[in-house]
Formats: sequence, C-alpha cells, structure tokens
Amino acid sequence: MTAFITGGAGCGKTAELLSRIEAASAHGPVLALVPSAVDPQDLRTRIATDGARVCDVSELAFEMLGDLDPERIDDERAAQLFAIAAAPLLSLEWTEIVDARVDPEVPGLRAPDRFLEAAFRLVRKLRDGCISPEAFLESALRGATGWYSNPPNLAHPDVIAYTKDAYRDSLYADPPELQRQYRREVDLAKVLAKLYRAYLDHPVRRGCLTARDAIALARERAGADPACAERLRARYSAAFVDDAQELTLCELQLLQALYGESLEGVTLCGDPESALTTFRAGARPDRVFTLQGERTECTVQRRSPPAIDAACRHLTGAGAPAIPASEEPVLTLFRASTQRAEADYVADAVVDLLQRNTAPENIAVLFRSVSSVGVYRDALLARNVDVDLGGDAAIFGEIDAIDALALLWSVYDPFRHEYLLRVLSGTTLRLSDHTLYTLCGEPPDPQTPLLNDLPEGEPKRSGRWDAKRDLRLGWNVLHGDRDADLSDLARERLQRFRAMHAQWNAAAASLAPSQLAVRVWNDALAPRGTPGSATQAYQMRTLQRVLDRMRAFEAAHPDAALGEFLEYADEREQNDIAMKPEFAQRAVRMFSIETARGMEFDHVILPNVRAGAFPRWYAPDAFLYSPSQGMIAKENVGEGARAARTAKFSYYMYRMKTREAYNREERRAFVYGLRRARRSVIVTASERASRGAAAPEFLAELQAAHLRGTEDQSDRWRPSHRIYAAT
Amino acid sequence: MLRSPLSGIPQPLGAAYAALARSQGSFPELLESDRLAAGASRDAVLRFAAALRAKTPVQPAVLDAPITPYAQNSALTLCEPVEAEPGEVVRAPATRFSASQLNTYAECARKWFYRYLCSAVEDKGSSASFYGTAFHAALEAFHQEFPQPAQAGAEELLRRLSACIKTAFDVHREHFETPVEHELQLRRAQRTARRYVEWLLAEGRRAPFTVVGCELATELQMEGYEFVGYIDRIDRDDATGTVSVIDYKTGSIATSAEEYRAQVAAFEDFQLPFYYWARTEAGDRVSRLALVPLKDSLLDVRPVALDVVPFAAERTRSRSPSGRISVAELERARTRMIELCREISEGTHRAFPVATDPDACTYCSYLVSCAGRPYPAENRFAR
Repeated sequence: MTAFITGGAGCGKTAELLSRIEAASAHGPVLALVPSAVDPQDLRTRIATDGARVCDVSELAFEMLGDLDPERIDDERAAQLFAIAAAPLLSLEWTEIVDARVDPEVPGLRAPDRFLEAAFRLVRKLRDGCISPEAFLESALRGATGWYSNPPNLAHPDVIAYTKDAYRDSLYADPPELQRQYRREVDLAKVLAKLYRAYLDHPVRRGCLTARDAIALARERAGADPACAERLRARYSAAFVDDAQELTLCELQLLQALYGESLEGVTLCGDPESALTTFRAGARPDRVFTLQGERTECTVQRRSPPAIDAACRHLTGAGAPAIPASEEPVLTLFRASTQRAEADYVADAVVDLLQRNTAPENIAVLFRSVSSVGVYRDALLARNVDVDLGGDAAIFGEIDAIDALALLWSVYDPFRHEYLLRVLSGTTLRLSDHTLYTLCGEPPDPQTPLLNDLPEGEPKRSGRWDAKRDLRLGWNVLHGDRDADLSDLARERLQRFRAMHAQWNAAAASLAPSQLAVRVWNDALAPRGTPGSATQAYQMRTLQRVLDRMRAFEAAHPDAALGEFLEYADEREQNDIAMKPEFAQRAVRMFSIETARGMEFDHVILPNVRAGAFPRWYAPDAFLYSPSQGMIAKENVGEGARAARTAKFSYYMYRMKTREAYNREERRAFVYGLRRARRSVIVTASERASRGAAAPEFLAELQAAHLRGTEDQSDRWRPSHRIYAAT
Repeated sequence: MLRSPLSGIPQPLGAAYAALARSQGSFPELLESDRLAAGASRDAVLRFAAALRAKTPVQPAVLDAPITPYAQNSALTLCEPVEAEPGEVVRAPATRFSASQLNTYAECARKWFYRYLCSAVEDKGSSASFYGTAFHAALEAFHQEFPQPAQAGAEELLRRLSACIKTAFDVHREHFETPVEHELQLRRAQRTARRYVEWLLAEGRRAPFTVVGCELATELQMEGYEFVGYIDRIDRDDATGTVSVIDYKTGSIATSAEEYRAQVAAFEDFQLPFYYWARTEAGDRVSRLALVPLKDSLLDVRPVALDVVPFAAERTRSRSPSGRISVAELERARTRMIELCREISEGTHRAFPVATDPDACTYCSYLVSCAGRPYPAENRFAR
C-alpha cells in the first residue's frame, strides 16, 4: 500500500522520510526519488545510508532505457530539433498546405520563432500529461466541435464584467464569426498535432531524449513489458519520493507502471500546498495526493518563528495564531523608491547580519527568478560580499562569461565583429573609442582583396550595407592595416594581441577547446575587482562554470571544435538549463525559490516582491489546451477577423480563472520562500505598489496586516540618514 | 573547416573566407566561379581547395607561430589588467545628418557610435522591418498612380493598391526568413490596405487633397549642418493649399497626439520636426504633421496628427489621436537638432555613454559589443 507523509513546509516531513529510508534500506537497496523538476542534490546530501539509490525520476528512466543508448539532450537542444522538424511547415511544403486542406494562417504563426516556442511548450506539457499526438488531435477536434456547436452565453454579465475592456469585442461574435474561428482552431490543432508527431518521429525516434521524453518512453516500456518492471522491483523493493507534489502525470504513471496502480511499497512525501510547478512543468498534486494509502501528517511547525508562521498563514488565509510578544521583530518589511535603493538596503542588511557573526551560507536572498538580479548582486559584490548564484539564470549571459566567450570568438572567428569590438574595448585591451573608430575605417591603402569582385552593396542585403565591412575591422586588427594611424599605446597593445592570436591558433591544433580557453583567458582576460575581492571570486567562479560546461560539451561531443561550443553557448545566452548552486564557502546564497527547495537558512531576504516580478504577470501563451475543450487560441486571425482575441479564449479565461490559479501558485511560492527561514525574514520591493488587481502585492498585504513581530522600515528610510541613497 | 588551423590556410585568411561565405556563397562556389583572390596565400588556398575537391586530408598546417609549450591542465590565473587607453575625442567626419540618426543619438550615444561611426556589424532586419519596407514601396507606387485618390472609386483603389502590395512583397520576398512569414505578412498588408483605402477616401471627402510627393528626398541646411531624409508622403489641401506631411508607421507608435508631442518636447523624436522645417524651407506652408499607423489590420487607420499652430497650446492628458503643436515647440526641436549636430561634429566624447534605459538595447545589433549596457529589463510576464 502507498504511504503518504504530508504536512506544511518546516514540519519535519523530510526528516520522517529520511528515517523511513534508513530503516527500509537495512533490508535491501531502495530508491529515493525526487520529481525531475527537483534537483536531487539536497536529498543526496541528507541521506546517510549507502543502501539508497538517490536520483530524480528522469535518471531512473534513462537507466531503464540504457539498452537504447539514448543521447541526453536539454530542453534548449530539443527546442532546436523541434524547430528543425518544423522547417517544412515554415517553408509551406506540407502537403496539407500545398493541397489547401490546411490554411497556414493559424494563431501566432506570423512570428514563427515565437510560435515554435509556444508550440514546443505545449508539446512538453502534452508529454508531461501522457497525451500522444493522435490523442491530442482527437480531443482538440472533439473539443472544438463541442464548444462551437453549443457555444456558451458570451453575453452573460459575469463574462462581460470579467473580460477586460480592450477585449470585450471578442465576445460580440455572431454565428458566422464563430464558425470562422472554429475553422482556424481546427487548422491550428492539425498543425500542432503534426508538429508534435514530427518531433516524436525525428529527434525522439533517433534517440535524442530530454528528461521528459525519457520518462514517457520508460513509462511505455514498463507498461508494455511487465518483466522490465519486475526487474526493477526486484532490485528496489521500496521507493520513496520526496517533494511528490511536483510529480507530473507521466512520472506518476511511470511509478504506477513499476509498482502497480496502488503504488505498493512506495512512500510519497510532500505538501500539496507547496506545489510550485503546476504551470511551468505540469505538476499534478491533485492526482498524486488523492491516491489511497496510509497517511502520516506532520503538523508541528519546527522551523519558522511564530511571527513568520503567522505571516504565512495570513497570506494563505489559514488564520493567524496568537503570537507571543517578542523582543525583536523577525519579519522586516521595506519598500524603496527605486530598485537601486532597494538593492542597497538589501546589501546593507546582509552586511549587518555578517557583522553580527552570521555565516554567509546561512543567509539566503531568494527571488522568484534569478534571471535579472544583476542590480542586487552588484550591490553585494560592491560591499565585498561574495555571492553564490543558483537558479534560472543563464550562465552564458553573465557579464564575465560574455567577456570570456568574446575572447574565444576572436580566436575562432575574428570577423564576428560584435565580439571583437567587446574584446578591443574590454578589459583585455581597453582601447579608446577613437581607436575603435579608426580600426573600423577604411585603411589608406586598399585592403588585400579576398574576392575579385566583392560588390559594394547587394540587393539581397539589408539597407545599403557595404559588404567590405564584413571584414574590415577584423582584417585591420589582424593585419595592422591601420596601425600607422593609432596611438603608440594602442599599436603596442594590438601588436601584442596579434602575437597572442597567432599563438592561440597554433595551440588550437593540439589543445582541446577547454584547454585552449584556459590558455586564452590566462593570456588575455584580466580579473575584475581587486585581488581577493568578492567581485574577483565571483568572476572566477563564473569562468569555472563556463569551463565546466565546455568540458561537459567535450565529453558529449568528443570531435567538436571550439566553434561548435561557441555556437552552443550563443544559442543559450538567453535560455539555458538552470544554473546549479555551487554551495561556495563564505558566499551568501542568491537562489531562486525553486533552487532553494528543501533548504533552510537562518536568515532569508525576499527582494523584488512586487507585481511583475514576484509574482510575474500572467500572460497566457498564444494557445492553451484543455483535454475537454480542445485548443483555446488567443489570437484571432484570418480573413474576416474583427476582434484581436477569440471568443473561446475570452470565455475560457473567465470560466477557468487561469490567472487566479497562477497567482495562487505564486502565493504558495512566496510562502514557501518565507518558510525557508529559521530566524528572520526581510521582504523588500521598490516603487509604488499596484492595486494588486492583476497580480497580488505580497509586501503590501503584509504591510497592511500589521502583524505582531513584524516591523515596517519603509517610513524610516531617509536617503540622508543611510548610505543607500536613491539614485 | 576553413577556420581550422589544420586547413593549411593561415587562420585569419580562412576565417575571412568563412565570413565572406556567409553572404557571398559557399567556399566551393566561390572557388568554382573563380572569384577568389587570396594574394600571397593563394597557393595555400588552392591546396586546400584541391584537397576539398579530392576529399583527401589536407596537408599539416603551416602555422603562423611556433607553439609555446603550455601545460594542458593549467589553472585559471588570468592576466594583469591594463589601464584604459586615454584616447582622443571622437569627431564625426563631415556628414549629412538624418532624423533617425539624431533619434538614435538621443536614445543612446553609444549605439549611435557603433552604428554610424564604427558600422562594423550589419543590422540584418526582421520580418517586421521588411513588412514596412515593402508596404512603403507599395504605397509609393500606388500614390504615383493616384495623386487624387478621392476621384477614384473604392474598388479601383483597392484593386490597384492590392496589386502594388503584391508586387512590392514579391520584390522583397527573399528578405523574409521563411516563406510562411512572407505569405502571412502579405496577407496582413492586404488587409491593412483595405483599412488604408477606407481612410483615404474618408479623408478625401472631408478635405480634398492632392498627393504632391512620395518618398520625397529632402535636404536641409541648418546653421551649416546638412540634413537629409525621405518624406513618405506630402499632401496639398485642394482648398487652402497648405501641406500635410505624412509618415507611415508599420511598427508601434505613440497612441495619442499628446504622447507624440511629449516625445518631441523631450527631444526623443526629431522626424516630423525635421520634415516640417525642410518643407517650410522649401516654401510649403505646412499645417499638419501626421503619423499613419499601418501595423494592425484589425484596426481602422487613425493617424496621430498634430496641427501646426502659431502659438503654444496647453499640454493635456488627452488620448485623442488629434492635437496641436506650436511652431515654438518645433523651433525648440530644431535648436536641439543643431546642438546635437554640433556635439557630434565637434566631438565631446572620449567614451560614448551608454543609455540607462534597457529598452534602447532591445534591437541593437551591438548588444554583445557593449560591456557597459544596462541590465536587461526583467521579464515581467509568465506563461
């Protein structure tokens, strides 16, 4: 029978789970799992026994598919393969389009890149939900027929009141217009189903698998081959799942395929109220925690002080308990006029905690997303506080990483002028703007022609672009054609750079890309900050992370050259796999809420708690999908369209209240962040709070509550009194 | 392969050919058409080409420099930092200024430096920008045929504009990255054209006019600085003889006349002020400046129009697309344009400053080059 360990954050669920794992592993090996959206590292470090195999569900799936020798790919690579599979659609070569059975004018396709991103997000959710392309299309067509044959009352006052003024015209849809929208929706469903099928038929069938692809395939295999499940059960008689609230339907079904419908021998530990990935990764706590089983509920709050517990309960509407009078407030609130001022306040608070002998590792600055936290990080580094960044930031988008990669680009392709300009003006050479300008200009003597007939401007190129400019800067830098016009200092630096460049290229013949990178950086990349400073430590850690990625890339692609890695990094400058924390010594943790999952700290700071940041505003994708209602396209397209949005979309938003559901999940995430604290919490934001209509303002809610044990410092802040002046 | 140190071709030359191949055709194609002119390294290039043809391994590299021994597992140590080169003040060469150039300078001086002085990275454009280019071309052809559109029938106008759009999009077909973008942008243009014709006829009924210029090259001297630009359309009012300057906008624009007027007052946009002064100098009596939105095919064409008035009009918070702008405001814009030209020509910067607003970086081709750029605005929306 399944066993459940449930309870709120900080109530000792995981401790209970760990003791059960230890006890069970005394009788033989057991599985200790986390959903694939969760990093197993935390669980791994907390399990004392060797008898437990600790991994996430996808690792288990890959293990089950070992005989297929699959190539593990991340979501970014999968998105590229998806785009390749979609190329015939973009070139209008699909027979359905050629034969005019499908009109390519479907919502979103006018911007193909964004369309493919949205389509791939949908495919991922369908994979998480164990829905095949065929089942998807069937349900989409059924949903369309059902909805349009019997449309709801779009003129209902509640629907009209719920719909924003700007989109109300979408509700004035007469039968011919609805019929037209129906046809667009059907075509959209056909296009998406075919794209999904193409993805499965090409990259996936060739063995390029993401974590969720592996889980889906392993589930199919375990379902079709009982012996496979038996073998695994024989190896691991019991399985324990921590953070089970984040399991997707597909992960749950894989476990059921292995351990039976009733999950015999499986212990699920988690808190349905702490699910953070129902929107992003299709977590289904509603399916997991409604299974039958023996339940142990942990109810005593062991981690957070009463005032923080009360704040959490206030935010979730659970009713705040009586708080004993406390000598010192443990929850501090602060709203600054600007984000810079807020960052200074946060950094000063961290310095204050460090001066009171708190270990940096016991201070966490938690964000909903760490993809844009430069201003907070810089404020800490400026105070010589080292920072360990972990979460959804892209390593190749970090300033130090771009500097380092620009140097490598200048080695591999000096005619990628955008990178060469960075090298010339960056810490390596620090050439003046005047020198850059000179180097970009035509030399007095014409440059050696590389083509006999290089045209001055070409009709195929944008504007009046002179094709010679494709080469001019790189050629001037490498051949010294403009050296005579430069200052002595600039000329000397360029000559040194040219000599190094020749050396690097010579070395490239014998060194692996990562070895070459170390050489290039040691020769030409200058450290930031003073020796021993936090800034320099952060830079070195960033470079080490880039190097680690290079080495991982080399291991996966032994024949790859430097250029291939640089292209790989280029594609991932914006979106990348999550940056794992380093758990660096003497560094303050700067994590996303999801990275901090399962962790606890003495002091937690939650900055940037304002609508649009935490939580972000909910902006639904170009199309949504519901197994019962089919596709719900946002954009109303095609000949005859009058409103910008479809009627079905406006109605669906009203009916399903998806924005409210999203905001509820964000509220859970905020409370989850508060619950990471053992001793104190600071919540900050900047600028004026919104009315909280589209997204809640958590800081404003706490300010308005005037809870005991809470101190609001906003009014006390005066630029003249403290160093964090508003700038 | 061309960039590999094992190609036998000196790396900078190989990399240069690889860079050329991006726009001029593949290396084998260049070779085939006998377009290569490798100078002193011609032999190395030909050896590589021969090996490529024969599909045999190339000769070991003739390295530009001997390899300095280097420990393969060296630790990261980085190099000694250097002082910034002092550098001289940068003066732009004698040039003709445009409104968009000054707009760029006002938005981000560093972007201007990269784009107009360095000009080392091509702005490859986007489907949206090619939509605009093609639409402008179509309207130019259309209005040359119909200088007094009100005298023609709606159907005829629509048929001809539709044909002009088809032709213009065919001409620009290969600029669009994919056929589906071309097809769907063309449909969008055709639908927008209907709205345009409706507006044109309504305007003609309201106040009959004659189109007296399309894509009109315009030059202007202001205190010794030369300006150049192209005015999308100039209409002459048949009753009063005054002139309206029309600028087509296929991207996002100010949503009200007051918003545009505020942009002019904040010296963020010089386009219509420049056209005003250029046409006034040419002897026209300019009474109206209008931005015509051609972005959204679902919306009626409602220009953001400013009537030019002699005396200052009060600032309001009106959301109306129609408003007024005084000659004094246009004069202030003119003065600022001259100041900026002077600043650029005489040189005031040793290091061009970067904008503080990350929006300036959104479509900048030099994003990577710019080490001092502001942090990108956080993504405020979740899916």
